[in-house]
Amino acid sequence: MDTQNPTGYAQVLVESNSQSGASTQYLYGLALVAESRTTTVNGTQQTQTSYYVFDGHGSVRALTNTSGAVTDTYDYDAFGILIHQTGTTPNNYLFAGEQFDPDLGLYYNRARYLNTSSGRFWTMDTFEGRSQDPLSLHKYLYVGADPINHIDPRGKDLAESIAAVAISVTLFVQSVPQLLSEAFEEGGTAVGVLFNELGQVAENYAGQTLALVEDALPEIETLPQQPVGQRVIDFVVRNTETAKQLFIEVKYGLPSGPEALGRLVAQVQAASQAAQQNGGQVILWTLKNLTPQELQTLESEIGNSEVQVVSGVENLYKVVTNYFQ
Amino acid sequence: MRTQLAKSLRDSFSKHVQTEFPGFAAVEPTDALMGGLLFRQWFPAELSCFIYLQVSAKDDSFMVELSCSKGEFPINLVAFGPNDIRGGCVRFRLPELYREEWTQKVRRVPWWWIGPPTVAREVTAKAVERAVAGKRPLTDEGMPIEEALPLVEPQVLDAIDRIKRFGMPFFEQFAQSQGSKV
Repeated sequence: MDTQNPTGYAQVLVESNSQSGASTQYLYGLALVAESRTTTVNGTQQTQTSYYVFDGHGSVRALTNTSGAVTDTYDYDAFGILIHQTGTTPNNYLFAGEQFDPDLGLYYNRARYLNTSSGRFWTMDTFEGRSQDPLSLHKYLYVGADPINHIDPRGKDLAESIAAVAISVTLFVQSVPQLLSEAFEEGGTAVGVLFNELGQVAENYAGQTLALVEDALPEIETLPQQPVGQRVIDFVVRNTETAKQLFIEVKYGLPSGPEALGRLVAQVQAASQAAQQNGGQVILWTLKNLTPQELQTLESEIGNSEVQVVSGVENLYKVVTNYFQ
Repeated sequence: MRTQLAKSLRDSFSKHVQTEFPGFAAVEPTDALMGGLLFRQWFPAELSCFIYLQVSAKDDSFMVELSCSKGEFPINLVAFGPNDIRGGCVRFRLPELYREEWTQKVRRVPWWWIGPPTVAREVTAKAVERAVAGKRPLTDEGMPIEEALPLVEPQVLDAIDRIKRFGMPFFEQFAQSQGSKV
């Protein structure tokens, strides 16, 4: 087993049978490339190598021999039931490129086994779910019951990852008032430096959240720091197939001083102009949740109904995902 | 990018563009370039090709954009991709021309980094740890400047090499498709 490989997930490198002496070696590049099976027949060792052919979903659709000739083919239904197969090459890597356990009749998706017959995981999700997101409350559901558009090599619900980021944000935001009070006490440039750092942290949280959107929607791509006109837009998120896009301006929270607020309004207006010229919508995202009063102030300052104000990583994830789905 | 690194980057990039692509001339810097550099080459039929060095304001990294236009640098256009031609203009990030090299490894267009790249997940994890301990969320500790400076040149050379291998053929092809000759 290799936990440090370019696929990003733990992978089996070698399987061996101590009694028969047979072994199978798996070759990985950025994905599974080939398997080499070594067997002993009448005292002679024989090695047969097969190469994997994947579809866009990541499922193995064929095996080829070393000459490139197709030896085996596989067809699945949406949830991964093998509905048709040709060839007899021993191979357990099938639906979504994961390892099928023929003894159990289940796929090994690391944290959990997947039963493609029922389209559900075999065991419960460790994530308790969120009350506002019914799909996340289901303990056995596989990829939100959308197996055509998603995969789950970790066996963990995506919502769990977002919840983990949200918890991290809560811890961070709770610590900020103390840091601010110390910075104000220190005086000089300390406050400005801290606000600058808070902005950078917010951007990193946005980047992290958008990476989860990219995981969930493979056709989505994010351009960080995109210069447009006189401004650098923090993130432009686009659908590579349709060119539909979102312009995202990131802030830690609502600035209190009129000068800083004026700068923010100018930034949002620049993003808005860029969105109009290139086609797309603008989101002003704050890491810290805004109070209804802050939200009202912001909306009256921006004065543009086409700019959507969003706070918190969970809402960012939801709004961006919904926009592109 | 830290000031000293940015200066070194601009000097090096400028020098190599002049040497390797003598047809390109530096455009007078304006605020719109946000600390970057813009180089322009005119073809007949009024087509201009641009090389834009974008210096990150956030970290020690840079990006190279390429663009073609029948007028000025299309500053209001988002850098979509080499096939996204809008009003005769195209603007995109150079790594779009060799997607097959990186698309399986990373989801986002890779930037050139002076030193090890920062990862959002790691930055936020460290920021939380520090903030909870009552410390400022980010530190100024990056790679020491004297160690980072020698790393500028190899990154610039890589970018220049890629402009030569991927960018120039693109410009030629685009110019031909627009009825201009290189």
